[in-house]
Amino acid sequence: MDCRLFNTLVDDIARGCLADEEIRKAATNHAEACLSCARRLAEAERLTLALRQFAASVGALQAPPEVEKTLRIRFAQQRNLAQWHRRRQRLVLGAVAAAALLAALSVFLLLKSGGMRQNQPEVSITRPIVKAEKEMESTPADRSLVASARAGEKTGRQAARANPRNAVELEEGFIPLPYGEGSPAPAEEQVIRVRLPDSILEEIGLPAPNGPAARYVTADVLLGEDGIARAIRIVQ
Amino acid sequence: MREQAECSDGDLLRRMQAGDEEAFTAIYRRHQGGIYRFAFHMTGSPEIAEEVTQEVFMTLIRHHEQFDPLKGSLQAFLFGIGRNHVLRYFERERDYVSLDSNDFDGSYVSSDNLEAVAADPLSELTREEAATQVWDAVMSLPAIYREVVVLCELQEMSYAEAAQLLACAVGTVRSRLHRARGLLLSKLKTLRQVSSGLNS
Repeated sequence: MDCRLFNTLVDDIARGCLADEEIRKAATNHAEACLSCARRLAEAERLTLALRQFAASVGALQAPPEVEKTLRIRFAQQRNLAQWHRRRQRLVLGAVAAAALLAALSVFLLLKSGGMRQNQPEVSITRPIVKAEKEMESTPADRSLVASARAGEKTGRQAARANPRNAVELEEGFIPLPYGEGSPAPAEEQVIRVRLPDSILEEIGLPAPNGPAARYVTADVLLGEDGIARAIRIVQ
Repeated sequence: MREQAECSDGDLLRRMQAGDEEAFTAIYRRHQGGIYRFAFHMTGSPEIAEEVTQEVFMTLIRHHEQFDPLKGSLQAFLFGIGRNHVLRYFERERDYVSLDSNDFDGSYVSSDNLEAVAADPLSELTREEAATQVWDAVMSLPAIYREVVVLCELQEMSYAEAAQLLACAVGTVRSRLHRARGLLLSKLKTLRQVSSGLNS
């Protein structure tokens, strides 16, 4: 061992924390042979002793008792605060859960009622049609019909009744319904918009659109004042 | 309380987390001395040491979930918090030696500061010349060296424990301590020369 290596180990030797017995022995042998290193080791050992004595003398130093008292109060405050936070958190969570449950229930009820409604055709009255004589004059055939009716013994209404198909065909795109034929032409008619399962179309002799069975079609139905459907027009 | 003195830090901490005040008190009593002494030796001020000790345990109360036993012991965790507070104190007190300074510039907290704390047990110690000289020499060290002396010599921590606390390599602690001890020897020689000159 040389002086340079000894110098790097001198503090560990003096502090007694050089674990390797072989190196420690080599260092001790070097110190016995080298005066300056022996002096260096003695200094380091004196310093270690002085520091240990100092450490032992201040070892009893403690924080003042007021610190413990203050901290215990703070701990209790913090614990109460944490408990209050936990309680509030539980309340908030409970409220959120209740709200979510209520919302889910509402959605369920809405869907349920919506589903029930889907099984029934939806009906909305779009506009009334008054088949006045004036309106019946909109086509040349009608005008001639009305004119002949006025001219003759029949009134316009009777003329229309004589040919109910004319009144129906006034509305574009309407297809006469089989059971509406032959019934007397009403003076007042109404068009109502309905949503029908497409299976109904087949029942009334109309071609059903392609697609899943549960499809619905929107249609306008021409109703007489007697409530009998006379014609239908597929809207969608 | 005797039962709690036998409990491990982990058990006490779990009970403390559940709101057990006695467990907290046991942790405090177990570790406050070391932290107080560390802060006192680093700053030379009993008031600051008291403040640091209080802050360390307040942090434990408020943020105990930050302690991860896999990363180190509770003692190292508490010392780490204490060290951060001490470093903040040094930052505030610009009169002190820079932490990055590697040169011994002779600036230190005088032992006169100790006389200001007459009520402190250390004031008894300062009556002894040797202890005063060691104290003065330790306080004269730049903070980067002072903390390894405080941890390894005065707190009797191993190199590995100090390295964990300082978040550096064991070799760094060892080399800093070597340098610090050299500086202490120089300072003690100077102080003895002054002392013997005054006595003669």
